[in-house]
Amino acid sequence: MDAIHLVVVIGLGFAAGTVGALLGLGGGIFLVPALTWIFDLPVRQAAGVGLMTVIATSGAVSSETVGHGFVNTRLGMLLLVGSSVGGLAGGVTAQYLSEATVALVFAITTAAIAALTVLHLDHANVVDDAQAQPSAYGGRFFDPDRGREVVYHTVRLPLAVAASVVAGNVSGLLGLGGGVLQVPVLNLWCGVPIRVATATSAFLIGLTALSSAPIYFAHGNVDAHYAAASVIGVLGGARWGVRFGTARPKRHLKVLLAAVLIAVSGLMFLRWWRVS
Amino acid sequence: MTFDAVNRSAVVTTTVLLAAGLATWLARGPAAADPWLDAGLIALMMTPVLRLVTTLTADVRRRDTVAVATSLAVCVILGVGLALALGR
Repeated sequence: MDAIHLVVVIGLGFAAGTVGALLGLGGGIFLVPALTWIFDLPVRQAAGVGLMTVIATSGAVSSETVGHGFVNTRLGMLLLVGSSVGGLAGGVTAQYLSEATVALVFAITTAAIAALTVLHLDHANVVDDAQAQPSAYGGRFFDPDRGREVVYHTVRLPLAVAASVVAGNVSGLLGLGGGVLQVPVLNLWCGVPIRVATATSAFLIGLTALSSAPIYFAHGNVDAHYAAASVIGVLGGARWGVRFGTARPKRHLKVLLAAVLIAVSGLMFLRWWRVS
Repeated sequence: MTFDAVNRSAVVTTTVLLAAGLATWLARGPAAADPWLDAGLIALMMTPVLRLVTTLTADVRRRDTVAVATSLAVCVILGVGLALALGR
């Protein structure tokens, strides 16, 4: 890797970090293919770099947003238990469902969720009464859209946990982070505001990546130069993404989320078509 | 230390180590940079661990038994998963 490659990798990391911070996603779905296609990095090495960038996104977003009250750690930990159980059961799913079937179901699901997200652009999920007590897994945060502290209630908790189990289950099979499923489900059906859903998802993905990143590192599957350049880019991008996202109306975030969901749906349709 | 302070310290430490590693790599070559880069990546991997510990500590201080149990479950799941994966 020379100095020009270094700048390009930092730029890719910046883009991944920005998207990750805005939407609570790892950014690996875009970064890993870019590293393999542009730099001929072996898939395993690229995946190792991708895991490091997920941890970096998570750290940067958590450090930038926790003061706003966006991260709901209580809810996040519960969802993490769900996604971990789903991940452990991934082997069972792989025995009964082919990769093509899972990719097709995921493609249709993400396309449908994208459509629902667009239909609910102005859904705020907050309680106007500032004195109201949040539910057990709800919370308070400073809402930039309203310019004051607001309360939200997390509802349909079993659905949120079920979505986490499914997200954890299919993420291993499809190489996706669970955030792409969790964020819209939390926002559309579980009463969680989009800013809280994305920041909580960002908090979660770092812990999820932690279960495999040290293994990649210990086995020499993390190219330190690409990882360092990507992580530096991600840290800058995530920091900028949080500030940019906080300054934008929530409906802009939802439009971006819908666009990413459509892109993921397209990639999954492509994968289904290639493997079936 | 608070969740916020721990997070910020970990992110700043990681950034400084990795930036120093990349600067060393450009100035003196890859061999001289590797210790900095490895230290930076290890610091990076420690950031979620620190967040988990501070979250658990905050849950204990609040005497939120459900949250403590959930956080402990996360610790156990991550620990067992990691141990199984490293043992393969």
